[in-house]
Amino acid sequence: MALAEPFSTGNSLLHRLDPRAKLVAAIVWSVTLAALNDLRVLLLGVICAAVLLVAARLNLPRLLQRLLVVNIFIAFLWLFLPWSTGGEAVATWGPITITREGLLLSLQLTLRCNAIVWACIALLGTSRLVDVAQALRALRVPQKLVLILFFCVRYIQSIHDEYGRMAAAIKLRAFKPRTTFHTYRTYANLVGLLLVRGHDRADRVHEAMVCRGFDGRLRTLDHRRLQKRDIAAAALLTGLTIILVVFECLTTG
Amino acid sequence: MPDNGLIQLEDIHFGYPQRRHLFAGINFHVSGGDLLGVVGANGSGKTTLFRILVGLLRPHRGMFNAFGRAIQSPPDYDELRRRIGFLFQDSEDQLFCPTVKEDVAFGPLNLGKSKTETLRIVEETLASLGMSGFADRISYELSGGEKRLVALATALAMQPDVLLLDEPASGLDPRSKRDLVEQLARIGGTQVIASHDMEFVRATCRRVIVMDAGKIVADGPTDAVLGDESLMLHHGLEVPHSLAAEGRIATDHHHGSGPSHGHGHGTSHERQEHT
Amino acid sequence: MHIAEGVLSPPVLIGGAVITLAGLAYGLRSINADNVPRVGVMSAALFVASLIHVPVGVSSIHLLLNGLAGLLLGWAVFPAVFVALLLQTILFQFGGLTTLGVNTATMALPALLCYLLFGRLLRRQGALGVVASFLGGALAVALAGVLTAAALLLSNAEAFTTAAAALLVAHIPVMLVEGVICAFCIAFLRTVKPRMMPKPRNTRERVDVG
Repeated sequence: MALAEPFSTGNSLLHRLDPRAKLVAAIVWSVTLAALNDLRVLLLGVICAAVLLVAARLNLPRLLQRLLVVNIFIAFLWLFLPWSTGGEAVATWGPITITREGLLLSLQLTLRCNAIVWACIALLGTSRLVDVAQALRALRVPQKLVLILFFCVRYIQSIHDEYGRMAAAIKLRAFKPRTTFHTYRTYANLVGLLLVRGHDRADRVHEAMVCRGFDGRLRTLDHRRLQKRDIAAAALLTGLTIILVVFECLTTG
Repeated sequence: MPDNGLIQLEDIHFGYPQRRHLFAGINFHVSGGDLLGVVGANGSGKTTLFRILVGLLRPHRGMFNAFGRAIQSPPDYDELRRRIGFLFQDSEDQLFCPTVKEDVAFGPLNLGKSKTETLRIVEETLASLGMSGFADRISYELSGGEKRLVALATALAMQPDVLLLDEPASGLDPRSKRDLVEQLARIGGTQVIASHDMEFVRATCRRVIVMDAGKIVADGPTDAVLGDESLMLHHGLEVPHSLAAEGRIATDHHHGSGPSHGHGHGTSHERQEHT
Repeated sequence: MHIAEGVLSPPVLIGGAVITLAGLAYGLRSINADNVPRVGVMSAALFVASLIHVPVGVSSIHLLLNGLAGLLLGWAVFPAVFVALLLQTILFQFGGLTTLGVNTATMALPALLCYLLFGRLLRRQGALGVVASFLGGALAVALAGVLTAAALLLSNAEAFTTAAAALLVAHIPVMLVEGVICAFCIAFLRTVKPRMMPKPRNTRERVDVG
């Protein structure tokens, strides 16, 4: 399943924390780290994020695979930044000059990206999507947006299954993808069919909601109460980010 | 009209845009305690009839009475949907919430029940269907039979006076089907069931109407209607095997399988259009 | 391609977030309660469709479909794209929380523009409808590439010049393929489900539900 949530099941402390606390912590962490520049501070951030990942006790091969994919964009930047940034030359091969500034910038982006992403895997990946959506609602995200997210999450798997059946059906009819109009037309029809079915399903879902008294307002059951450990965890992570900011100020000022 | 008539449709006209007129003056009624089967070939109008009954479609003309009042304004339709539980053909459409608990709670919460009251209803409804452990399961991951029962729970949680079930047996394996028959028998009350599964109709209904091309062509006790081979074949249906095996095809119109209905349809079915 | 976390400068991130918030606010207002399930399910369908890999020469690309989404959803494309990207962030860590604003804006703004430019031409049979839908699909991808490159350049013009240029070049084949697929897809929908074609503005579909 392409849409599996491989890290959402588990029994670590992070899995047991309330998604609201984790969401707040993830937002505070991401926003702060995005604004930090000092390499040593960012390295400290990566170490903190690594501790979180270890605490989440995730499936290691899947985690490494995920981290590899995330760093594709970073690798793409490494292809260009070291020689396209002006500054003090470190090495020269023909027309290409690797600069100290280019290397440092690349390193900075790499550290910053991974510090954010690792923490987000540990914090958000350890909740089910559904619970993250509920957490957004608790954080006063507009009702309609949360509802759209709910329906999207709810029907993504059904639609993906439908796509799987259609893809199998065209394969059975000896379809071989090539760079031809026929191929593109086939894919376009496939996409169109997915959209038509989605459209019809949305109609039926809406009817099912109306039949059960839906009037445009979402009413759901209460969340469980925030526990002390949830608040403590969010406070701890917020405290950590403040310490990082203080370090950054000390090093630059 | 009989006094205990819960729902009456009189001279209802309805058609979809750009298609032939489906209903040109159909009459249909349901009485309290009816266990009514609606059978008919694809496109005969069963689902349209149901969608009119819950107000998802508005008849173009005709009289629609339910629960002792005319159904006209939007508040009437709200009230109608509160009192009629509808089981959709595809349970996947009906279970639009992430978890079973939220799906079952959706109706009661919309009716303005408190959260504690709703949780109690959810627990009781699931328990009554033998699904107590399912509250926190992910709706998408349930089996077909489980989905059908949870969808039934979402309708029952609104404590409806009438249950409409659109193809409740489709896609179910034999055991799930037997479970569903048992549950429906236990729930009782007033039920209207549209199905292509004649055995299922025979197992759940006491009265059956046959629809063809937007018309009701027969109405009578289950075995009398389902056992009428020429009627069934003429309208693209078939006699259930169990009935054939009992050798009761088109012979005994005075069987004892259902109590009298008290609404004048009695023991022999009327044939408005049947030639 | 979505920009990863930690790459863009704070002013660019904030700018993207502001644009996205404005788009979301207006987009959500344009969705009435009855249409909420439709936007959600369409968002899911587009998400699944964007996982499809299409061959281009020896390589393959995955579809963006932002143009198609814009043509079909109009202003609602902002919430739809936002939700799809949020899911990608949580499920695959493509993009991230801080880049959500920029990435939504780079995808949804061109989509919206295509809707405003070509939306009402799509109902036309014949060449005009085909050209409009091709342009809608292609332009949305091209502009998404331009905006992504612009976000990089605005963050650090000197360092990102070549990377941004490479990104633009990489968008060219995607742009052509998306245009073709969008044109075929709109033609399919026009035949199979004309109801899904964009409606003239300010008219609402009659809703049967009481």
